[in-house]
Amino acid sequence: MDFTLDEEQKEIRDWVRTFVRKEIIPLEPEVLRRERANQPGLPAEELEALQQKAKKAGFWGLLTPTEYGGMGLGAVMTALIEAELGRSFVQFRFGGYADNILFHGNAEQKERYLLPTISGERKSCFAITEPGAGSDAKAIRTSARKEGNEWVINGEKTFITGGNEADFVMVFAVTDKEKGANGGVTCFLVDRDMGWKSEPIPTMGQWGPAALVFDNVRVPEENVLGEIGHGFTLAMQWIGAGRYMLPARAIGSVERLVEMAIEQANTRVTFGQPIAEYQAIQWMIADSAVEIEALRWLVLHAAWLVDQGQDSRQAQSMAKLYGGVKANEIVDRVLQIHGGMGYTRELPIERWYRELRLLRIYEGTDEIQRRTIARNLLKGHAKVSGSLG
Amino acid sequence: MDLRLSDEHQQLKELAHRFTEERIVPFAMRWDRDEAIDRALVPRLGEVGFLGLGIDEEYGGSGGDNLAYCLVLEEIARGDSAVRGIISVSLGLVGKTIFKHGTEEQRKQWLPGICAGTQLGCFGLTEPETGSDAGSLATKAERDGDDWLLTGRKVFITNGTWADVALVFARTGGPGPKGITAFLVPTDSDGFQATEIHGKLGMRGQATAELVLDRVRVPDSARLGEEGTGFKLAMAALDRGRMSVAAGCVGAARGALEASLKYAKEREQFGKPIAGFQLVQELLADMAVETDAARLLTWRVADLADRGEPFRTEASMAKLYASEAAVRVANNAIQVFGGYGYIDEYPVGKFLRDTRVTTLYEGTTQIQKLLIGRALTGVNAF
Repeated sequence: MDFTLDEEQKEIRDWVRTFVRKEIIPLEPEVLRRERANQPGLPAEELEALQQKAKKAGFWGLLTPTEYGGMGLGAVMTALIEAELGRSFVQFRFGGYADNILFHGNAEQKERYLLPTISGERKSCFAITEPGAGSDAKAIRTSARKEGNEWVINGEKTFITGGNEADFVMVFAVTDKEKGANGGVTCFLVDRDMGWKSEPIPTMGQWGPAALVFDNVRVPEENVLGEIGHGFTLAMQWIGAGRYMLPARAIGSVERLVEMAIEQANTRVTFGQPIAEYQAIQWMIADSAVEIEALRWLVLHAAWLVDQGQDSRQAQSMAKLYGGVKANEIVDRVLQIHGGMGYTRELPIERWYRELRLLRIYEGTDEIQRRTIARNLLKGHAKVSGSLG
Repeated sequence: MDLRLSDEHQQLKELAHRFTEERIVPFAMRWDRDEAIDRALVPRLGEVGFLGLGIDEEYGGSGGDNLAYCLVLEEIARGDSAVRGIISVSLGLVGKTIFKHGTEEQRKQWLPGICAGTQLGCFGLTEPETGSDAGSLATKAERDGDDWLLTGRKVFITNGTWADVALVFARTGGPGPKGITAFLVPTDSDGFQATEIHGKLGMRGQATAELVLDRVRVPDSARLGEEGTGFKLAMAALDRGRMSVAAGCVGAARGALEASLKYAKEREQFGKPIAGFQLVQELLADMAVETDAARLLTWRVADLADRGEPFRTEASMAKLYASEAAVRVANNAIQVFGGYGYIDEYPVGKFLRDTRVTTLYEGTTQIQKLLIGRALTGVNAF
């Protein structure tokens, strides 16, 4: 048993922590000002400049294999890095990333889609969710029918992260209605200039997804990713690969929020003493610290299982569920400790409050995670505490 | 980072699992009703080495690290928290304090019996007027020639009527924590009286007692540690104790979850097993998440302790989380069982009654929050 990080892990984590402190956090006031003026908080060119700066220090393609110029880091290291990035609400991410399923493409697809995505020349988005198919992803109705050497795609996708900026989409469509999700869904790589349209969806947070419309979009047959009919497996692979990353990022957010709460508690004076001296305030801080610690180990345990090549689905669902629930409870306490100021736009807490709410919804709602966890136990796919000893 | 158990740890865990299945699970309900475990179990615990974990072999111990201790306690508590509590107190609070701070003579006098399970220890800190505020205790120890005379009352003392030695904390100096000294008091001393407290909500298999000390005479060689260091010894013992309570809570939570899973698959309502209802699945899923989180927090403490690093705040976090989680999990288990969970034919009611005390003793949930809050803010809100 060893809960410690090795020297290399600490070194990488510390570098990212310093990068966030020196390069990202100072941008926050300006990012906040822009967002509140309905402009992009971190415009693409500024994000790219930061990514290039990080690249010079070797931070490029955290999960991208080294033969593609990436760092080929493991899941534990990636989780630790995400937690550091989560310390700022500025939506920074390191460059050199590409969706895991793009690595399944053939040589030509890799040339046209994977490599330019890694280099940042092209931007991808992943489209499975539809107005009538969210948690129940198997209910998708977007269809693709074969006409000669082409597929013709019709349908609507919604809540597509990156859909407004992407220049190609990995879209999932039904190619065999009889088989449905069991062998009747196929994934297509579709360039924007093939004719699909996107429309931004305003949300309560800064996450700005898109609705996509496919109206007789013609796609050459060589743009099928993987095999015809195997799309649903790819989709699950995409969703399952990084479920631990969302709660990992939340660790950093709630750590920073609780640090703000501690600072506020020690400086804000009421009835002649700092509010930190009131037990009610200390309880909120203590509860938050305990839950952050529990979250940290649930996330790192899930990531560790990924690195071991063991079945991590149960642990990832646990980490995602717990992270979503607890991050929301913690940001609420932190807002409470800040009182009226926490409710204003003077501070970024309300922004975080809105943003963290999403964590309980996307990439598997709380309810879907609970269903997965309970089913795994009841069907014997996971034993009680089976992956712990 | 490596969250795998070594082969050695795995084997010990399996041994504790078998022991629990064979010697504890079949009897736990009867012991609970009888308000006493079969005391012949205690030497059996000694024979397999569970009462000597963490103690060197030269004193009759069986060695092993803190993780080994946590693994055994989890398995035992899965069967009966009352048995787990007997170990936590006799070995964890008393035996380990003697091992760490006792003289050679004291170690040789008490440890072989404690490790073998032929003798038991009890931990006399709490008094009728001082629970969380233990630094204000009133039991007095006065010099009488080369001896000490101890007078006072202790309450809620686990193993109290069964113990051969009581680790008693008494005031030898001024008010506050710095005036407290620890003594090893043989329970057959004149003037030492233990009376069992009946009617506990849970942990019924263990003997909980009130101790009355009326001018109990002990030699100076019975003093454990320097004069005035008693409170420090008590707090150090409780830091480790919190880890052991947390490990026990993980075991109880796991026991409640396992029972619930089994029942949910068997029990049918509206024509299908209740496991098929989402609201039942929600209960089960939340139980599983909290049990795993509690275990990770507990093992994290054991890992820190085994590396010789400070673990005080982490132990408070693990104890706070695991105890509250165990109560929630056990309560959820009763919900899964419905009316059958409310009667003692099934194990889940006992899990709730037994775990309920863990948010109270060895530092209430509220005390843990104040300790953690102080560590984070630097402000004392006691």
